[in-house]
Amino acid sequence: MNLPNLSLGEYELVYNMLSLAIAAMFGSFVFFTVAQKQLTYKYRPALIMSSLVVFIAGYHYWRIFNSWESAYTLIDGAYKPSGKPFNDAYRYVDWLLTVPLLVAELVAVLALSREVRTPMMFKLIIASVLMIGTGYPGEISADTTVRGVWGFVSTIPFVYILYILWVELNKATADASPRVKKLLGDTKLLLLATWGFYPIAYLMPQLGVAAGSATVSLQVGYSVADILAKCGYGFMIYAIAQAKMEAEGASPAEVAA
Amino acid sequence: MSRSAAQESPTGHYHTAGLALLTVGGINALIAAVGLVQGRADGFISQGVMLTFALGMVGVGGWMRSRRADAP
Repeated sequence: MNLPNLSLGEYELVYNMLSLAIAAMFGSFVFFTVAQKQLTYKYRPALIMSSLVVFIAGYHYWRIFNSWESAYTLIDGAYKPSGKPFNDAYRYVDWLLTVPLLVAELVAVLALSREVRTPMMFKLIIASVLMIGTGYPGEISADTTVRGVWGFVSTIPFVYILYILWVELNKATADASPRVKKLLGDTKLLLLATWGFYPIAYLMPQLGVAAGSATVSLQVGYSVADILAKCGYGFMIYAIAQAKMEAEGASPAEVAA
Repeated sequence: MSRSAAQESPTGHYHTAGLALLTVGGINALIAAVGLVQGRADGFISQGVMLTFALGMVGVGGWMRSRRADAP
């Protein structure tokens, strides 16, 4: 990545956003780990998955933060590239590991019957791996045609994921309480809104946005999207579990078990 | 005849989640292991880190699958 010169404010905006993302991820990790005990037994696996997601993301943000720090040097009141590379591509490892878990935890928290949840989880996991895996060749290519082709290919599993979440999952939760349905709908919209940012970033070179001017907005945008898509999403999962327990009239003894 | 989710053992939910973790961890471990064996120098992917986290997921998935007794 060719890094542009940055003003003090631009550099520190990215620095602070990456720092915020680290704090949000590890703070959420502690919360999700502790909050598992406030759920009944069958809802805990979803929160264990949330804990894994934010821990893995927190580690990768820590690596990106270190890379950002070493990639710039303060010279005469402005930040200039130090010559060391800025590798924010730790994000790809993070996505390969965590995106399949994000969709799996949504199915896990709904505690559907085995006949429904197992095939649905597999379909979502395979589709999300294909989505990330086929996006990768385009991401590392400088050729805009290659980027476009792989971008299109990776959109196919993305659309399939949306179909599963909006059609199959809606059918499977038709008898859920209104509150659970509302939370589930909000969670899916959060997922759609935050995932929607990634293709925009992917397409920036095709849209003619200069790499230099895009650096700050991309890093800030990715950080905000990741905080919402991982921490915010995890909190929605927790809220769904609480709403389902409430609808089932779970006793304190069941929660403590 | 299949049982409804309400009738089902709570441990079954751990088993399904464990299977999901084993699958995701297994796929990622395989990708990372192939990359390491081939000695791929890839600017985007850190194979060692990927393998470590993937094996961690496999471990957690295995623990979930190993749960036998339901909570009281």
